[in-house]
Formats: sequence, structure tokens, C-alpha cells
Amino acid sequence: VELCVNRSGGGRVYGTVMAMAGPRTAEHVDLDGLFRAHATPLLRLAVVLTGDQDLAEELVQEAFVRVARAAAPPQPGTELAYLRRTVVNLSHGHHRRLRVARRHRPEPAGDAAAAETTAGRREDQRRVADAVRALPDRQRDCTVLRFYADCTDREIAEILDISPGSVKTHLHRARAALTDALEALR
Amino acid sequence: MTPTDPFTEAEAAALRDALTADAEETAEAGAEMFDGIRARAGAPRSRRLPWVLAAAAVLLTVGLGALLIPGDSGDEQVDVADRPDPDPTQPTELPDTAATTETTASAGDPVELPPRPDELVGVTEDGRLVVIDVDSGEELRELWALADPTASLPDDAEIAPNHIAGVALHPNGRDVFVETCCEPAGGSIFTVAIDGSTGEPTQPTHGGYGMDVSADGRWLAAMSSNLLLLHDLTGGRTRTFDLGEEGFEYARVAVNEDGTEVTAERVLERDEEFRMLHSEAVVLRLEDEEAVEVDRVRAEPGRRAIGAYARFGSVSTGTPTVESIRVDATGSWGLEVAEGIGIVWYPFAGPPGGWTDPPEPATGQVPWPGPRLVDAAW
Repeated sequence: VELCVNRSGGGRVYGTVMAMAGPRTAEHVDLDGLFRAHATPLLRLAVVLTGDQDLAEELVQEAFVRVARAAAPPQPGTELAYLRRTVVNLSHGHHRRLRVARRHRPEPAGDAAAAETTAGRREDQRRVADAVRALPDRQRDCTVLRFYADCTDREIAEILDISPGSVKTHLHRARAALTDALEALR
Repeated sequence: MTPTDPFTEAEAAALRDALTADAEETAEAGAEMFDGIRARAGAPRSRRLPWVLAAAAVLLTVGLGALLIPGDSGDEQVDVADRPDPDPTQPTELPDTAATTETTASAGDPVELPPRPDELVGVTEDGRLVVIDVDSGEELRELWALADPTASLPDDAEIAPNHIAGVALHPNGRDVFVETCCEPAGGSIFTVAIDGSTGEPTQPTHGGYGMDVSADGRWLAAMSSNLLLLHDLTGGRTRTFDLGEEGFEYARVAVNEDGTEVTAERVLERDEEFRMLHSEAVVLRLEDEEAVEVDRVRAEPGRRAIGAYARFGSVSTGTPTVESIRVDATGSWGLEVAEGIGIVWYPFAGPPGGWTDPPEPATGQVPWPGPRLVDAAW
């Protein structure tokens, strides 16, 4: 998955520096090129984060709109980092709402077909994915970036702009929260 | 998989399968999406203007004009000279000196301490920045609350800190530096007036975590991964020092009176809940081109090291859990924020080169009814 900083050419950008970086304007952004290069991986990341295809498309669109309309767009080479961070952060506001919606979602019917091994396996996986999405924001971010995007602690820290120690903290807490869901797969 | 990874191989594989299955069912981003982006990207953005102006005003107020210069005139990065390259997963073996084997020096003759302040600024676990009376523990006023961090923000302001992680005060007694996590980035530092005159901040002014301000008021020191950042509060460029040793986590820095020396606390051990159990302090002299390590002191297991001005001490990390430790600008007072206790003051009046252990009972315990404090400064 071409999402991690070191594998995609993105760089560490401090929030403060990013907000104050040079006189680049939105007219310099190659929106078409950025979309072709990054939209699909970002969309998949957003789906994994939210579990909702329509919402994921909205988030990715919003991220690109923000790049295009930013008073100080990201510097060349940092666009993916900017987009990725924006998608992850945008998913937070929708996360709580989705959690409530899932809590009230009807369970799938327990018919004979659902008992088949493959279907059962997929349902278990879905439960695990839902459990990940029910985690607090940063725990979910770290878990998805680690196990979907194959990022290292340091890469996750750079994407989320938190310390590697915080990444470890979030992963430890995520592990504790996911115990039941993971045991169901054994 | 890292040695400290909490997930087993089987759990990691299960998570990968579960999350990848969702991604595999996702269609590629199509032309309709791009059309939508183009349509919205062309819309007027007049709403931005007040916030751009507000951000500019904040930045000008704190004298960060130098950071606005683009290109190669930005941060300076230097390596620590002649540093060994330890295994980052293992604690560093220290030279066999007295300073590295014991946490504190013996007590000397009592010295006159500067008075404690009347007020503290504390951070609560529910995201509030409050001014606290030191004697009574009474909350005097609230400076910032993040109960709903996005409520007061414009739609396109990419600032939504979801918790306050730390606090430091400028010696002018007015400016409070507030460290937040994690929107738009962990270690976004905001500035707010202690009298509330500036209102709640909306844009970060600096970056980093574990911060401290020099007694001369010029330097705001903070960490970002292995980078030590020295922000010039008079408007000069930020100096950046690469401490080099990948894999270590730095928890807090203490900067001396004129920004020429920094003591950084480095984590050596955490428990399963990721509470810090054990740390060491590294003293770095900041020269023009490099940060030179001049001393390193490891606390005993079960204690956290603290240091400033070539003095060292430690506090127990047992029960109650230490949330934060800090030393005042004179190196005379230590402040500990501990879970279940609140704030405790310790006088550090040992001889040069060391502090005494905190006396029993602690000199000053500030009653705090909660919610739990995570940091405090004065």
C-alpha cells in the first residue's frame, strides 16, 4: 500500500511550518496529477478508516478540495503527506456518528448460508474491522496505518505528527481494546 | 513487527486480513469524484480571509516573522558529535561514575529558596487549561476548554486539538504555551494570555512537545521525535538539533537560563499500560553547530530522572503514577503532578551538582479535587 512516508516520498511537515510555508499558491497545485496518483489509495484508506464507501469518497474529495483551496498549499513532495493527514483527521468527526449507527445496525440473519466457513470467516473479519473502527481516533489511526498500510511506528508518527512513543501507547491500548474481537478469530 | 509490538504475529495477520478485505472491495476513485473536486475547488473562499488575517496577527504578535522566510534560510540541523550508536531497544550503558549510579547527591547546608508562586496553570485530563491557587487548590479561572474542540472553529480551519498535553509559562508571567495533540499535528503549541485577554487560541504558534521556556524569556525548547527544537521567541529562526539516536523517546526538556544548555529526559522503560517506569536525563550543551552531550544520568529502576542546570534528581514512578515533573527556572523547586494526589512541591536545595531527595512529607501538596491533572507549570 503506497501510503507510508518513506515509501511515497512524503516528508515530515510540522503543523506550524506547514501553516507558514512559503508563497506557493493554489494555482501551482497539479490537482489532476495528484488525483491520478493518490486518489485510489487514499479512498481505500478512508474506507478502512470509516467502513463507509460514500463517506470515504466525501472525505477524499474534501481533502483534495482543501489542497486546491489552501491559502498556502503543501510544498512539492509533501502533497501526499498533507492529503493523508487530512483524510485521517477528517475521518474523526464522522467516526463517532458511525459508531452510533453501527451500534444500531441489525445483525445479519442466521440462515444456513451464513454458517458456511467462508462466509463465517468474512463475517469474523468484518467484526474485527468494525472493532478497529470503534476504537478511539488515534488508536484507530495507528492500528489502520500499521496493519493496513504496513507503516512502522516511526512512519505512523510522521504521518500523524505524534511521537513514536505515542504510537506505541496507542497500539498498546488498541490491543487491549481489541482482545475480544481478535479472540473470536482463533 | 518491533520487539515491543503488543500484537502477536497471529493477531497482526488477522488484522491485516480484516482491514485489507474492506479495501479490496473498494472501487477505484473515478472521474465523478474528480469532477466534484474541481467544482468545489473553484468556489469562492472569502470565508477564509478573517482566519488568515487572525493567524497572521497571532504570528506577528509572537514575533515569528523570521520563520516566514522560505527556502534554505530555515531550520538548522546538526548532529551530536562523536556519539556512540547504541541499540535503541536497550538502555544505554553508562560510564561508571558516581553521577550515573545514584539518583541524587547528598544534602548540603540549607540554602534560601525563592518563594513559590501564588498560582499554577494546570491541564486536566478532560482538556481544560485552568489557573489554580497554589495554597488552596481552588480553580481560579479557566483559560481554555476542549470539551468540543471543533465547535468554535471555522469550517476550513484545520485546527482541532483533541486534548491538551502539556503547559509551560513564559517568565513574563503572561504568555502560556499550551501543547496539544493531535490536530493538525501532535505537538502543536498554542499561546494564550494567562489573564484571558487573548481568548481561546485558534492557530498554533510553535511545534514540539515536552516544552520548557528559558529564564531569559527568549527560548522555547521542545522535542519532535529525535529533534530538539529551540524556538526563538524574539523572532529569530528556530534552531534544530538532531540528537541522532533513533528509537529513543524523549519525554521532556528543561532549558537553562539563556538557551545554551538543555537537559532532556529520555524514556528507558514503560509498563504494559505504557506508563513511564524509568528514565534518564541527558545534558546537552548547545553550541553554534552542534549539541554536545556533557552528562548523562540514569535514575534507579522505578524512578524518573529530572535535571536542570547540571543538577539532577529523581522521583518515584511507583504508586501513585507520576504524570509530569518539572523544575523551576532557578533549579530550586521541583513540581510533580501525580495521579490520585495532584500537585506536590519539592524543594531542591542540595549542594552544587545534586539535589536532595524530596523530604518526607513533601513540602507542599496542593489539594486538587479533580478531574485528574496531567501537567502543571508556573
